[in-house]
Amino acid sequence: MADVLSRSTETPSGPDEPVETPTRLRHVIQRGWVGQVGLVLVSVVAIVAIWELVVVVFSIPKFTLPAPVSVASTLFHSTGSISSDIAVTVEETIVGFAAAIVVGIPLAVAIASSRLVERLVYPMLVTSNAVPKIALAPVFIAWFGLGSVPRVVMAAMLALFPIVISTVVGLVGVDPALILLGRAADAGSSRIFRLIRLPAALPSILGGLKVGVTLALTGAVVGEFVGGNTGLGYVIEQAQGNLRMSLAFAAIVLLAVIGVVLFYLIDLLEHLFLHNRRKAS
Amino acid sequence: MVSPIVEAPAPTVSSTPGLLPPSRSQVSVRGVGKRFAARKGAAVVALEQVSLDILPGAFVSVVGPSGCGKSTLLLAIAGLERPTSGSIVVEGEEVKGPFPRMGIAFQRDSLLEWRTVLDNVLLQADLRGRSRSGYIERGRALLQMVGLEAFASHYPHELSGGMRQRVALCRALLHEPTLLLLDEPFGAVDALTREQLNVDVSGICEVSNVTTMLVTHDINEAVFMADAVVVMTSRPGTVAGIVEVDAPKPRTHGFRSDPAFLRAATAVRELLEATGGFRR
Repeated sequence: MADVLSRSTETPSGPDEPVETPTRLRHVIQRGWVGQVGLVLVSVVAIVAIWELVVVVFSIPKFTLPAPVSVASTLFHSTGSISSDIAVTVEETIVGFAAAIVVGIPLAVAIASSRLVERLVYPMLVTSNAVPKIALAPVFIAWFGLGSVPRVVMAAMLALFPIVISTVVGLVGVDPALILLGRAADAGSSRIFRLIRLPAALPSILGGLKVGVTLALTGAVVGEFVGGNTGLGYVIEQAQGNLRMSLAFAAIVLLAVIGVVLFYLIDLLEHLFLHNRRKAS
Repeated sequence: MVSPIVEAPAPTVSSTPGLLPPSRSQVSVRGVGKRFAARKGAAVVALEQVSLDILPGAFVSVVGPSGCGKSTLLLAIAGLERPTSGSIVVEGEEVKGPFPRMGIAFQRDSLLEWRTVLDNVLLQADLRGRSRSGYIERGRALLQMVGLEAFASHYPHELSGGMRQRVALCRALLHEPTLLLLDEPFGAVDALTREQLNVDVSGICEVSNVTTMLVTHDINEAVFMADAVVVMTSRPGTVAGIVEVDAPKPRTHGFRSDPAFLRAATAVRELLEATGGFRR
């Protein structure tokens, strides 16, 4: 004990000796939860400070780029009045995302398990993904009216592709030896699917959900831009028309918050399901 | 070359007297061939006119250069690969699909990363649609036999390569198979672990009284564990000959310097050289 104590007071003694405290501090900052959040805060504060500085130094007019302070004030005062729009956008995103899961995962299972379905559906899926879906927004409005339906459809359309692709990749990429093992034990394809294929594909599926949920939010906002009179997309469009840039920026900040929260909800699911597995090697 | 354990009749003599009576042999391979259709040119002949008999309780190694069809032969006996000609009979029944009392382990341990060690062993029961409660005790006993009882609730990524392979072996033995098929099961572990696993598996197979077929490209490993080594040559895959290893089982580390071991290993090498498996 005495030895340890005396040594710790002696270090650092030379340039080659590891300097303990700064190394540990760096370790905490890089790895620890508090450190991670701290780093995020540092970068956010830096960006806001630069933003504020730019607006003041170049005296940029409020209707071009509002200063962070005025955005914050608008956020504080208007969030109540646009709370129904926040709810609308969140709901459209979640319903669209759920629809994409309900359609996408069974579709992916069908594609992964049948050559015929793969050849029939895959080219169509790739083609439909190649079409800029924003171009379809007016068509959806013509079909489904100005309510929430076209926005939900838009959200689902955007989220569908990454969910289907990553589920197919996960299901097809299962180690053939695992499938052989199932066949050797005389397990039918449904049992092999339940015990081996699906759990093996889970990391890939959750990866697709992460991409999908962010795209669903994009889809909902695009739908709101094109038609209707609710949602944060509509708020942004109106604010821009009325030169209330600080309101537009407040809505954008809210969208960022929604996107991040939804992303981390899936991330949480991932941790719950996959915490026992080997880290990506 | 008549062996009490393994017999490879000449390709044309599947009906000639002198063969073991089918009732005595546990695995009977007769004139088995396997061609794979190639996209261009001639079909690839993986196996041609392979015949051999394996007696109950025997440990048989199959050794040969890459591409000699030894893994294809194992998969055909497992009922996972259909031969294009000939027939395979296991315990009196023509092989048409996986034989229920067969255990199998592959080169990669193929453990499920999301299951604990015990749950990986019990996968055998789950895949067969059997209630796992009847197998938990046996699963634990098997883990104890390979010295992993303390790791039952660990996850595979917490285990070393050799430990993982032992778990895979327990999984292959859970349902008390009478035939154990090992397809290069020690190919992915380091040399020292491999020698230890050779001893472990030799003991386990002896205790379990399970007929075992080991496919490997390692001559020393093939000889160390086996009653008889089937030497195969490539393109097309045929049986070049059989070398008997006349020594009691289970084998221990010291067997590597035993004259019987050295004699058999030399015989296998000479056979490979004589049949083109080795360049001079």
